Amino acid sequence: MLAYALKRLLSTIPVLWIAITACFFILRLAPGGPFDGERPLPQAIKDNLAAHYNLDKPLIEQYLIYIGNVLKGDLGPSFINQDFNVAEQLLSGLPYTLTLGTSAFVFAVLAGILAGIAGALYKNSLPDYLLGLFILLGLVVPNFLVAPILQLVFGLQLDWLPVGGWGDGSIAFLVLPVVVLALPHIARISRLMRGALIEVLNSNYIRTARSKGLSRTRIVVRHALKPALMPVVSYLGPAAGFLLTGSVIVETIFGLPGIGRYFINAALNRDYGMVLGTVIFYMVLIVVLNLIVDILYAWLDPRVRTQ
Amino acid sequence: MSNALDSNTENELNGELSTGRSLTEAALARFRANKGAMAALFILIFLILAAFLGPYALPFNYEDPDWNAFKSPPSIETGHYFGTDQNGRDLLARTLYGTRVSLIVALVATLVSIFIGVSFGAVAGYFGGRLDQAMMRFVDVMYALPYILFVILLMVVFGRNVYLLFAAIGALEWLTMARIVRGQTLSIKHREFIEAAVAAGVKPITIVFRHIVPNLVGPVVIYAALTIPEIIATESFLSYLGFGVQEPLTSLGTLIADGADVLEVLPWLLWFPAAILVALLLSLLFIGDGLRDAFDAREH
Amino acid sequence: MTNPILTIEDLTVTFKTQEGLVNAVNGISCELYAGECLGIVGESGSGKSQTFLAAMSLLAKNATVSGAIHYKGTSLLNLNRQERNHLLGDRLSMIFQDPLTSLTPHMKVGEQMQEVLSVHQNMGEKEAQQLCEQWLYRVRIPDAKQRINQYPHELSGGMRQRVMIAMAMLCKPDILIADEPSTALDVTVQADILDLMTEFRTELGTAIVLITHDMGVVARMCQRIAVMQSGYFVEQGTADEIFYQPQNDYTKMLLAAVPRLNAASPTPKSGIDTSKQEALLDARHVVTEYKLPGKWLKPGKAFRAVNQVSLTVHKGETLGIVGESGSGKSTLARSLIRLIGIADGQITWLGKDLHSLDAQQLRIARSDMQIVFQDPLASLDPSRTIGYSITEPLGVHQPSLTAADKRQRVMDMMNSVGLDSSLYTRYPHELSGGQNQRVGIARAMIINPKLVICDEAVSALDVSIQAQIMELLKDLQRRTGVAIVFISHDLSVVSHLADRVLVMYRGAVVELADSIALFHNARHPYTQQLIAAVPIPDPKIESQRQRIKVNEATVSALNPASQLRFMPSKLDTDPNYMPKLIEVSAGHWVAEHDELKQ
Repeated sequence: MLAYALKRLLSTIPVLWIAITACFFILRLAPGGPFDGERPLPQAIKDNLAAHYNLDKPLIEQYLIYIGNVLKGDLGPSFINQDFNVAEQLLSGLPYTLTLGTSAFVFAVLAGILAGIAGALYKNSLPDYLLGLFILLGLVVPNFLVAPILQLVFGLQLDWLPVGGWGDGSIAFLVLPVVVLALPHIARISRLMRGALIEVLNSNYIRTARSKGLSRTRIVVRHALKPALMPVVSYLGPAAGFLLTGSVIVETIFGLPGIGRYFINAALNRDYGMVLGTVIFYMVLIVVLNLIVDILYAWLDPRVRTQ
Repeated sequence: MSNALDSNTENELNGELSTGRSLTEAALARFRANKGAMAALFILIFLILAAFLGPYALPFNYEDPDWNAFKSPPSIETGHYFGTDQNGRDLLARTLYGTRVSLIVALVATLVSIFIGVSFGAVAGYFGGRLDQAMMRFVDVMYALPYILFVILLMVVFGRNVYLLFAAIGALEWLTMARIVRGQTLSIKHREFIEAAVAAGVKPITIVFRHIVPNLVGPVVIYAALTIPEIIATESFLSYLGFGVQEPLTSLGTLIADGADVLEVLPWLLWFPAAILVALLLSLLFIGDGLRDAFDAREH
Repeated sequence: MTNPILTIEDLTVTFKTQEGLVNAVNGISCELYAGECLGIVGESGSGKSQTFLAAMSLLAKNATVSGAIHYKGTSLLNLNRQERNHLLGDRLSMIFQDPLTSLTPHMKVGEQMQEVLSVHQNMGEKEAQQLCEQWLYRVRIPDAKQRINQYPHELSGGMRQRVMIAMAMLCKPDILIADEPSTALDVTVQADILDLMTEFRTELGTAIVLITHDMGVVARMCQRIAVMQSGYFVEQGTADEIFYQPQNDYTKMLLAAVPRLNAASPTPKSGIDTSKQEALLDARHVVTEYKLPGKWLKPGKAFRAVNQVSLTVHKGETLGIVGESGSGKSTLARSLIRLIGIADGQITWLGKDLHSLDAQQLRIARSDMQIVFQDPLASLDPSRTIGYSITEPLGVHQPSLTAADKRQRVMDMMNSVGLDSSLYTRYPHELSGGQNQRVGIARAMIINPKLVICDEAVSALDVSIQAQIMELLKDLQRRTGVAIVFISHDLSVVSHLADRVLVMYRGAVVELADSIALFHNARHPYTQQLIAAVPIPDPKIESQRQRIKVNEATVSALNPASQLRFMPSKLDTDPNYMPKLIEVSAGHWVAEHDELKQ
């Protein structure tokens, strides 16, 4: 098990390296630069800036310097915001994004799995149909549409919850963003869970378990649940990625000072250093989350381990 | 003990049809029998016709203000059935236009993703070996990347160009298609009818086109149908954030973004585009599911 | 006789499907007595499994059951869930056809066994573990102590089925229902599994219901038999009655269709004296290897699927190739006609080295060699019509024919393989398995080949269809003089078709002889074991047969020493030794081996 985890960890290194390299060159090969503002700067200042940011060196050298810095944990300076470097800005936004993301992730997984189990066990009954309707809406209504509607209803008309901002960081400020972020994933996870559980319950080994005279609860809990969770678990890796990108929009709509909003601002302002840093940061997060998911998967399915 | 039983039990079918029904035809028949999917198909056709023909039937276009009607709520008398926005532009015209943009983006991006995905997957699957391993490893790597961020990165770097948007989304949506096609190619390649064709002396290139490609149609159609709504959602997501289609052009995502800002005072600016977007996605989802059910039933 | 422990009265099972109601079981009645083995025989779709799944309440949700099933006076159909769970696994237990999918993949076999004891006997974990271990020993699983902590995928098919049996027997049930328990297994493993079941029946008095399609298995195991066809019991009686005085036509037809090993007739099948015929295909020391996936950067090792095989196929003869799963017989077949490359050796086709022909020459050579596959549906392109599939080889090899000529040729061919010409425009999924296999044969025969390789060509078919296809092959051979290489795991089938038979074990030839010599005077212990393991559809013969047991295969097929399973004396001196073939009498070749210890 440990060897498997280690092996998977090592295999993420080339992934990250390729991704960082790709991002770096896309940005450098692009026409225009961060200093091509509305007012053209004098050439001398431009040169100074270029020298400061190593932009005057050959591309390969810039790349090597950048990779070297990344390895040291230094994501370089922000091209727009001179007061803080990229790593500092990201770290300041991290707690908000992490709180939001983790809460939404846990909420989506728990709610999705429970709803999926309920749907499978009470297949073709009223609760299952209601779940089906919910799944459908969750799949097609984009979160940038859900968000303003919920803001209007719960924030303005009912006045139960704050419309946005972080406030004092209390739960009330988190409820709407977390729900908006989690909804589509609850829909997807419950759909996967329901489908997988129904399939497992029709499998030969469940028939064997029934032939052994086991109770229904025992069959579901001991024999069916683990294999039915596998598609859900393999979705969790991508889901973590989707949640992070989803947080971009949720942070923007609800005005939360997380990484996502920095990213959007940086992208709109062409702050290359910041954009690159954010993408790398997100990728590390996603790769680590995928790694955790893979290990979880191996734990669920003994066949993966022995391969 | 020759053919006595055989002719009784096996030739029951002979009496009925004289021509057979291919799997695709059978699948389409199953699709036609699926009421939900057919209703969705009609809604989709209606939306497509409205988006492409509707603007010609309207007295207003999507960019010129009606000086008599600013912020006008939906009304039959003024002819602004969906109302107008802050600039007096007719929302119906803008919504139809936005739908058209969303549909075109989705279509082009889906075609790009089919093209890349099918060629990539078929090559990897058919040639196999080290090439396959290298190609699929690449797909794995791409999967691990936050692809929307990449699109945003591309939009930032190369400017907000609608054509680039098509290509960027399509170029990043092909991964799953490539995996599906590769898997299918691999499984077909090892099926015995391919060996039978080899044994019959059929040339490899002929085998690919006569025996492998036709059997890829089902999965590709199903997955393409499921890709379209995803691309529409992605496009509106990007437009919402301000990285997609730019003024005065518009798309459903842009309209929703604008509408959301004034939801309290001019609610119709959100509701109409939102309803169209949801109807579009819902009908595409139903069609995709219907196609999948229709084609997947082939094993029985 | 005492009272029956299980009675079934007028049982009907109906499934609600999209095409309407389907009656799987139509009012059947039978009884089961303590300590007996009742055989339920029928072809696929006859409803034989559904009957007893109904008794166990294991039917799919869309099934409705009427009639009555009583176990010792308790009506099984009227029990509530709790009462039923009390009986299932304790008094009535069941084992299934496919032991891989029938065990929960993520639970250790020990856990799965122990929970039966904890549920039914409230037994503590330690005690349960010990008892399970004892049972694993009892079903002859070596190293039970380690096996109990393994997952199902780590066990071989035979071992999984042993685990299933041990699990079903844990509470010493009154009734064991076995649904095709040995169908997915090799014949030697099947013999072991059946012996185990008989052992428990005689020692513990467990009544067994044996559901199977195999008349031989029934003859070996059962005292009473019910024959089932489309949901009805067409005939019920003692084994002797069914086998020696069958009353019903269907029973008679089934018995007639079953290939019998013991009935291998003394006349050569194709009526050809092979020694006088010219050789079509000659293989010398053929080696075929598969690359195993490597680990990290190390290249994978090669696995020899076919190891130093030499054989000759003469014009017009039928050569049978027999072997269990993993013996390399299908790989050999594909190598013989160059569907896969060979690593070593030489294959001569009509005097030319087949594996050094260029693409053009190979295409010409292929017009004389064809292949028919095991799975009739998989061997036809699902997106093409039957007519297209049969025409394709014609288009390659006789491109000058006009469309109308081709169509006529195909129609004639369809006619001669017993296919109605109206099927020309049909698709494979619209045809039955037997029909599709006829299409496969028509496609192979359309260009009048000199050699057809039949790779398990009848194995996926019901016995009645199997018999017809075999008849068809014989008929085509008589008419066209085509040579056939007939590959099968089923010795009885091969004994009916082949002039000469080659026996393979783990990639190598262990014995090659003409059919009669092989089946009546096998010399190699493996062949003897194989023949002894084949059930014969005749209860009297079965009751007097001796089983032959050879030391079990202990090393993996990847280990070169596995070749020495029958020659352990060489293991110490020369573990890489490859037993040589020795001609013991004219045309009878046997691989070197140690003397068999009886």
